[in-house]
Amino acid sequence: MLILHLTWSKHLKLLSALAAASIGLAATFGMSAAKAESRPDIVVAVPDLPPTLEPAKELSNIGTRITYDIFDTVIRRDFLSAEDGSGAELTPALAESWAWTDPRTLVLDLRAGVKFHNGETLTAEDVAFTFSAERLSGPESIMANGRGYFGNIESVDATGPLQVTFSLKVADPIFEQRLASWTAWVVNKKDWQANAGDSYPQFPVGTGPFMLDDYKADQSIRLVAFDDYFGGTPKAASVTFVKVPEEAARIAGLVAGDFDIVTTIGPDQIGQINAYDTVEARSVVLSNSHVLVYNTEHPTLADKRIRQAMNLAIDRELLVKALWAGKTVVPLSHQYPEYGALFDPSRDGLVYDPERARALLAEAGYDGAPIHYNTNPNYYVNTVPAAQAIIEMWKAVGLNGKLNLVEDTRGGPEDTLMVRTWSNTTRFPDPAGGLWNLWGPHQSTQRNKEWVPAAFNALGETLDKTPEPAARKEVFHQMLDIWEDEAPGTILYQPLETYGVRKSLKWQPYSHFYLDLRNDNFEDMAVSQ
Amino acid sequence: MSPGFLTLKLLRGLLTLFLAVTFVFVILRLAGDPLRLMLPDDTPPDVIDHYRQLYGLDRPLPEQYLRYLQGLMQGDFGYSFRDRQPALDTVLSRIPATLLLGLTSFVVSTLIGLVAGIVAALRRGSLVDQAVISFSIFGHSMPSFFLGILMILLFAMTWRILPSAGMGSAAHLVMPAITLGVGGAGAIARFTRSSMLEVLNQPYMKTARAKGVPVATRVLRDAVPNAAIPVVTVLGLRMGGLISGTVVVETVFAWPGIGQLLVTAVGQRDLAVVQTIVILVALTMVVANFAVDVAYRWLDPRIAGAGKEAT
Repeated sequence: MLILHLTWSKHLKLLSALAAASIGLAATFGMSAAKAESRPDIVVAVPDLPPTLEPAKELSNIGTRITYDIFDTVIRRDFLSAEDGSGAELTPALAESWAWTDPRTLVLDLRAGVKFHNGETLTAEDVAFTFSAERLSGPESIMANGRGYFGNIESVDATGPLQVTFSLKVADPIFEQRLASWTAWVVNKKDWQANAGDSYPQFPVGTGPFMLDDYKADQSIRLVAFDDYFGGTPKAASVTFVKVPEEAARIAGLVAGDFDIVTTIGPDQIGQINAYDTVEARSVVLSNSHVLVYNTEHPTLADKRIRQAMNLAIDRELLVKALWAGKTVVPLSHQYPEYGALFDPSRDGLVYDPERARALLAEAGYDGAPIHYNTNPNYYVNTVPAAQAIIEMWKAVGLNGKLNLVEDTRGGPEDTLMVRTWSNTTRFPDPAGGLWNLWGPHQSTQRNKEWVPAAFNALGETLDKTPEPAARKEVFHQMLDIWEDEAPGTILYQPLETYGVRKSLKWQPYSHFYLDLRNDNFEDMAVSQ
Repeated sequence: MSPGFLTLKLLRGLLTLFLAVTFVFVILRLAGDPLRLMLPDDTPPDVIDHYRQLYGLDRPLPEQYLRYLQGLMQGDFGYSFRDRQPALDTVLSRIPATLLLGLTSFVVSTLIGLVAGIVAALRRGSLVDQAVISFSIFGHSMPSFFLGILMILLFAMTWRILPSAGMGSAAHLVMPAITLGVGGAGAIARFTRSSMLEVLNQPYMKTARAKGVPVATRVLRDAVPNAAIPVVTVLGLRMGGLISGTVVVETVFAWPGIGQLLVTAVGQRDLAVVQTIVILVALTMVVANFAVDVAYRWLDPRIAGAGKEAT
């Protein structure tokens, strides 16, 4: 053996080299093991958990805050492109690039080597299936919302192993925004079809930074890091969403160190959370507005001057100050800065003018007939105090408001269906995802015949077909004029979503309910330091 | 136990269950359209129709009812609208958590209540008696959600010695079990004290005392069994409420049992799940009442005799 022929000094040198190498290897492996172990296990307390993790079905705040970390879209909306977490820039995600070959045809080239949580590699077939008529966009699809977003797809085909081609029925200037928005999360075709049964799988497989590890119905959902994530190894080892329905218990658990993040905190609790050294409240104004819907077909509200008076009588700034500690905002009508070129900052917005309201009521000959205001007391934050204040504001101008606390704001006797509470989420940063989507013919107001506006609808159809921003802006503001003048409802304010967060977590909430724990928005500084 | 007695109780129990099922079935359907709460606002009408058909909600109410009863006879409790799992499986999966919490608090509150009530009666008018009465009123009148949140503030937030919510270890059980048990212990203590005071004044107790029978023997052999009947009634009610009585506490402490499931299911109009829980609760009450009736006859055979004379 070679070693037998070496001198003692050479023996020593060799042994030293081996020892050094061993120490080096041990240190390397030890460090990587320590690094892996050092990733935190994050616990998030939420008021409720979704019954499934099918991303196109669980579209509420309850579902999207979890599915957002499990699934990816082909194009991604970069919320961090604005400081307040409401950015709307589009960036590559599962698609590396995309191009319109004509106004109705979009071709996407997918990123190579992206893995699903089940080990399968992402192909164009998966993306085509995700948006297919069978799963999402067709009349037979069981996904209730799919057609609302992607009903304009004529066909979606895998035109190469990593190339997908969308053909649209009519040109859609915001189709890329749609691809970065709700219902657009990509699933694994093979897994989905194998587990769909007669409808859809309860836990489809995605490509996101975290994958499902354990699901305890109504109790907890544990996700673990998917280390093959194309966006980099996640900085948390796991994230467990725990159902804690009581707000006080969520806050107590945060302070006690049981939870790292707690969601759905009322604005009145911000001060209390901030009083502790280790935790803090982080708030964001949502891409959502609390709204009142007026039944324009009801005899008492048929005269638009009465509805206009109802709007003019509401002091929204006072509501924001009194109920939201001044932390939320009243938008300039049904338009938001995230609309970019289509936003008009010079618009008057939602005016408070009680004198004008009184004059309009006198002109309309309002006879003091009761105006029933229906709201579910537990659905929207601050809905009851807001309703009570609005009823008083209406009284001040001579309107006879009656508050009804009901479970279903669209149920009850026909003659009381006059005013109901609602909220409007801008699903993608464009009027087509806001005013037109929410007050157009596919939504509840028009379906319930609460408002049937022919001119508004005609303009909305024009908006859909108009690609140039300047022309779109003109059409949109004409629609806004009609909406304000006919007053089928009003916006109250954009609510605030507040989270309680361990101070050492680098994490920012977005203007949507997504709880993004991807690397560019999450780091546990207590571990990193 | 006569066969007539058992048959009568069984028939009464079945009637109670039938009425509970019918009542809940009708009320839930009259209270509104579950699809409105289930589906988003912008759901196309044909998709709503699809779901209505899928869940059989498009059929006339009497037909839905008969189909439901038919299903029940075959052990089919329907499917949850929420997660499309069999409703019975969903409900049964929550029973262990609720029973763990309910039985723990039941045992603790019974032991505390009985001992406190007996001691208070034996020391009538003393400081101990006053303390038991005060505890009893406190336990009875303190709303459980308030007590629960107070305990969270003290034990989880301030002292950090107990977990604030959830289920997973023995420590998780402490606060919910105490919160749930305090009210029961107060009621049992009060009933036990009153009943014991009545018995302690009976001539046979005075005779036993005059004959020099030791206190422990007098209390445990002569007084407690005779004072037990009103206490058994309270215990029966508490036993019957084992499943239904945990709604608030489970919600406050995020305890994943039947109570929390019921709150979620009612909020989302998950008809099959609510109905299954109601059947389960009704069944528990029926069984508890039956157990109380049997216990009455065992504790006081004169009751069975009186029944015979009456019939």
